[in-house]
Amino acid sequence: MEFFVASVVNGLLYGMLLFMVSAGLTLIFGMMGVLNFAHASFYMIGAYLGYSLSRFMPFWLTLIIAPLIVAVIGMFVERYILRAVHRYGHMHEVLVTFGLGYIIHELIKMVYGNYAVSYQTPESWKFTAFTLFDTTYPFYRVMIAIVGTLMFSLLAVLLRYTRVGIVIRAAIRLPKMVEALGHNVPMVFLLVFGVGAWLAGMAGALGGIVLVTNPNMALDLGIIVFVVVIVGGLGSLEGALLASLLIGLLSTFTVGIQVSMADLLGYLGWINASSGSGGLMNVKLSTFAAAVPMLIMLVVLLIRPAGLMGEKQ
Amino acid sequence: MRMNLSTVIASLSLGLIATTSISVSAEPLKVALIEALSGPAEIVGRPLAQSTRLALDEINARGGYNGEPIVIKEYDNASTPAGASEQFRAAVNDGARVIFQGASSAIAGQLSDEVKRYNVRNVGKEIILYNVGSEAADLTGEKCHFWFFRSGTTPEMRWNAVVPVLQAEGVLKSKAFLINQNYSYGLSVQHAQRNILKAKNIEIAGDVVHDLNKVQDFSPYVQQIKSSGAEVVLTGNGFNDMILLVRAIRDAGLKVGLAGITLDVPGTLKAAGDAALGYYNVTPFSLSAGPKMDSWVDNFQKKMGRSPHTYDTTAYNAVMLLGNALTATSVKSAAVDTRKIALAIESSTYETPFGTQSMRKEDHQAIMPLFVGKVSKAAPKKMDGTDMGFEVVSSISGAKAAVPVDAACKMQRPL
Repeated sequence: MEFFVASVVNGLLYGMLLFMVSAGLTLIFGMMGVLNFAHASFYMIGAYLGYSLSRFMPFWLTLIIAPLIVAVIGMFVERYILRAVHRYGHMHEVLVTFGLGYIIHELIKMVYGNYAVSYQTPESWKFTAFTLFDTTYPFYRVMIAIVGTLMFSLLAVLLRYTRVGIVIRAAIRLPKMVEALGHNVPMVFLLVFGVGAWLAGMAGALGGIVLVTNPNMALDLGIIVFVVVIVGGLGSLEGALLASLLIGLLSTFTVGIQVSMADLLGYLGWINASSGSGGLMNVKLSTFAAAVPMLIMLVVLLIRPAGLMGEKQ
Repeated sequence: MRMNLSTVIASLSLGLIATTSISVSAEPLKVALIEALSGPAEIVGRPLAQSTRLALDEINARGGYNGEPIVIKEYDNASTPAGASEQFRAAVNDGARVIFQGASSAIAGQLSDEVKRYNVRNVGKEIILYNVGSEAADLTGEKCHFWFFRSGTTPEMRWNAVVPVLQAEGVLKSKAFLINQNYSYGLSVQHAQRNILKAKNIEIAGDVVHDLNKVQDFSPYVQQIKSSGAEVVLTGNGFNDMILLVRAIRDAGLKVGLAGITLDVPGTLKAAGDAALGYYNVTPFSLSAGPKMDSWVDNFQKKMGRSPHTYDTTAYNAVMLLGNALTATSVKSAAVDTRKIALAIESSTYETPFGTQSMRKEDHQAIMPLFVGKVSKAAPKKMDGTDMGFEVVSSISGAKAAVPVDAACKMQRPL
């Protein structure tokens, strides 16, 4: 029972963290059709800005300013870099953002060095949210889950029920028509990209404390973020939420299961034949925990190529 | 083309001057640093390369080898064995006779094989591979050969040293939990931990491996540590995998001891914060080894503009030991003789500020003292820009820290 409850709570908390990082990516793709490989780099910038700013201003203010700066950087990238290559097609956009990721990586190393920086939970935020079976859960991690939920609700409402949302969605489907109706479509794209970068910056400023703020953080999370977006369905916010929670829960449960194939065969009475053979038979399931997201992606791509909540193209 | 006599004489005499000047000055010893200067292992490779250079510059300042300064060239292996293999060929073409490397055991294994093959085919022009930090056990075990020297410790040396200290400190009584990274080095660590715990009659309450640098959330592992009832966690994890583990233990409010080997790596104490207090760390260096160490540290800081840490001392001491071997075999204007150098390394020693370092003849494994430190705010030397440091709870002499030669090492010595 303790294992089950703890795994569910840990899995949900981790899943929400994943969602925060991937929400912006799926938003940008869904709205603009741009696969932004520099997204994880925006997340990294958010974390480093959070670290720098929090040293001379209160933490809550950091959480407001750092993501805004990232949003401005994002809009700059959209306006002066992405827009320039947009007409050459998606491959150019992918390559440009890919290269941008490298440049940001090197710049961060030049400014902050090769090693992790000390981005810590501020003293006044360090308290226990709740205790389950003598295991404490810090308030900070719970807050990330709450902020993630808020982000999701806000975006969902904004896109679905407001005028701005209608214009954005229309601009994706029929940009020429929307332009003819008098809306500034490039401005809409600029704003969407800004919001996407803002989300990444927010995830960085918050998540950089729970994960480690180092120059490799974009690489470390870059792959899993793409997995989340693909499993959820490219462009689907609900899908990204579902995929994040699924990956969080399944990874957490796998870690806790110390069973090997030899053990399973042992239940069938073949213990001697299997446990002595070594190699693959005795590898514990938990060893594969990091491969679980990839496995989920594989299965989803096989049965639902468009992702869990993705629309068929 | 017509040439008058004076031109011919002039060019001939010029040629003569050139040849005589070559025969007067000996060929210099060329060395190559094939290190991880980019890619994920750069955080280890960069300081190793810097400190290797620092030591080589000092050797040059006192006369170099055969009366000539040693020629140093750096090659970036981009953190991959394939890159190292490519750079090895480049270094051979440039005439390198000693190769330095230290970041990543996988790269060390690759280079060790390359050097072994090359030397079989090029008798008389052999290359020495001087490793300044890779720790996987098989490098001086199954893979050992005469031209390979390892100056880092092995997992067995470190864990054999730390477990008895944990017992003496009363931290470890009956149950330990092992958590390691799932790759060659992590598995050698796991192997070493299992052996010493078995020898000391301590129950292994949990024993897990996880992917290298892929885990973002260690709380499920902490949950397992908790339900195992272990008193101490033993781990070979480093960088993110260490920082995240330490933080997850703190966040869960779990009271458990921990012993590792990477708490002194830059960024770790800083990022782990107070969560690391009371944890143990075993290293082949100590900052609080007295005034000699203090002046070494001062000198290092002046030259490099940063504080030294474990990679720096390991590489520096290793190269200084080689330097003593070079000085011992140095003959003015003689040709480079790597066989003589290799034999001299075997009997060479170097006095570090914290003890004597030597190279064992049988498997070319360095013998050096080890220090078990405890993270504390009362430590005399603070590290990593924090108010914490390592209080040395036990110093283990080189002879005591040494472990027997691996039976798998069958070294063929040159005749």
